[in-house]
Amino acid sequence: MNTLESRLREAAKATAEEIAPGSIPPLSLAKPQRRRPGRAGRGRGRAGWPRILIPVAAAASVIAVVATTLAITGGTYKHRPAKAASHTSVLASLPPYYVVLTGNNPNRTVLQPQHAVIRATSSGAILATITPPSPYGTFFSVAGAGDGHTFVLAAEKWAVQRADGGNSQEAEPTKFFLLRINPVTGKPRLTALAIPAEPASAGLSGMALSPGASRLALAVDGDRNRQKIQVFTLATGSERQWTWPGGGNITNNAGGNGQVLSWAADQRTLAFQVWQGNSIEVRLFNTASAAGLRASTVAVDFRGAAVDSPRGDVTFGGTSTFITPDGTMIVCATTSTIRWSTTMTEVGYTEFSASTGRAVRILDPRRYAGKTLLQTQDVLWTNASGSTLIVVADVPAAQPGKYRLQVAAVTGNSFTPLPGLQVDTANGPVSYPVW
Amino acid sequence: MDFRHRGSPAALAAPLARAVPGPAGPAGQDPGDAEAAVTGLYEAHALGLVRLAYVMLGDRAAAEDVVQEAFGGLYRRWDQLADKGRALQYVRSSVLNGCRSALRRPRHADVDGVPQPTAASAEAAALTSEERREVTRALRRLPDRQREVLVLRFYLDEPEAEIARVMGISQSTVRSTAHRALVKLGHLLGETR
Repeated sequence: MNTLESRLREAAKATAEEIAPGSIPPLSLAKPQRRRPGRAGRGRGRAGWPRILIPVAAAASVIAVVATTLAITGGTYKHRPAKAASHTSVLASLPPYYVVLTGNNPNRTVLQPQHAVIRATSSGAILATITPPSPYGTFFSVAGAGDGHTFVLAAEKWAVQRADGGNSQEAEPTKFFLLRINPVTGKPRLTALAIPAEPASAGLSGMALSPGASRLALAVDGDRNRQKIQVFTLATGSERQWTWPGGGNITNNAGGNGQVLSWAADQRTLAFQVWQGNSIEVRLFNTASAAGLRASTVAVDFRGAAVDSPRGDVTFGGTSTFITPDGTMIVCATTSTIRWSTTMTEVGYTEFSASTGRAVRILDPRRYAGKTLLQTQDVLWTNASGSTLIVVADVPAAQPGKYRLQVAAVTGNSFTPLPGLQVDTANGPVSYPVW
Repeated sequence: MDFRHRGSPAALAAPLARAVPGPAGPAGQDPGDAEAAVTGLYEAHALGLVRLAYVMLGDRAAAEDVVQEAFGGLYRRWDQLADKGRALQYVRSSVLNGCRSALRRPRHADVDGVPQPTAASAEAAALTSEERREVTRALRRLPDRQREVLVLRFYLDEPEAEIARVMGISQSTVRSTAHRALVKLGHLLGETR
């Protein structure tokens, strides 16, 4: 074969492989009359999966799309429920168990000792309740490897300080425990990790367990209030750490909820949020490199997103950001303006290319009339490619005009509620469930 | 759904008759059977077909749309398909037809033929280079028929007879079209053949 043919063959193969395995949307067998032959390649695209950030060129198309959208949603907030037939298969594709931290009083979110509850994803059934081993009095953070079997729990002694007529929790050193759920028997086992306890002043702002559970990343306060990222190899207890040299903070300003740090499956690439003023960055860092955090790169740049401003096209609309385990996407809840409308806003779960930072697709898009949104939405878990997510979102409650939190699996446009986690907003979970 | 390891061109070009999962019932069967069979086929081959369409079109969303349309057409015509074992062959032809239709429509994006940025796998990202972009850009500047012949020949590794059958042209036309396409591609890339 000559050089040109080799070049052609290699280029075609490499181009094809830009379509990552697992990234293909599920088949939508729409009714024939709802499809519009001849519109396949441009504009809105496949039914229910609008191509975002691409202006609609023709006025006629705009009118048609607007009319279609209003017909589908009625101009109100609405998830598209999964077909009954696919409900079971969606649940079966999720990791089997999750952990949620809660206290004895579900209505209190602070100043009470928390234990860990293990639940089955498909049914919500409680598998076990794990209390912190003595002398630790409370769990206050949990990270999952994403497989539904392996978690790390952060625990500390429980000390309430009473002063000036009020209560506050006194800071204590943090100890980390590995929780493994036997995939065959379902039996949980909690063991102390052979890594040093974080000092009381550490101020843990992020924790992430890598897929495969080989590494634990922490974002903590370091010397002179400079934040640092620590990475522990769990098998050996060895540690590497890097001080954040830039401005802003490695945080999501959510008081411990949500995912500030996340790992790709290569066990090297770590994504982390940096909030500075009115901007949020999701940065990528190769933890295997000799370089410092200054060498981290900006994967997604939300300018002005901290206030959910409608000025930008896509603004950060949650607290969590995940890099998909295959390393190709950054996933988070978003709020978007719609270019052809000055009166509607779209919310959903947007996937940004980790290499270009551009929005690639939006899952479970929902449109509202108006630009101000108060609803909760966040990403809690992603599969390898981002084609299936577990999210938390407000959904309409029985009482008109009210909403309640619902944890659900999202695949394409389908929203499959997970049983056992339907809670009122007022009595929401103390912390997000973690997979 | 997990489409991993099912997207190779070889898998797509493999003998087609054995590719249809599930029972292939008679006309008038339970619609659920058709849905299951078509969905199973999609799960097995969507990745390869989207990749094929993407190589042809250079637009991921358009490629996904074309494949969705093709499987939608297969589902609607399932009862009329006399030989369910040829379903993949049918749907692949539909994908190629869909690509031709998409290419004939006016293009208001990627005017210069540069592919839209898309999420790349780690391996693909490593291969992304100016060299590959240059070849891909040149491929997309070829006339539709020439491009299709080259994609079928050098991406799917299809024999001339199969390319002729799929495209509805003679084998000699396949040969001459491929020759002209390679000459033009070489010219676009600054090569002398």
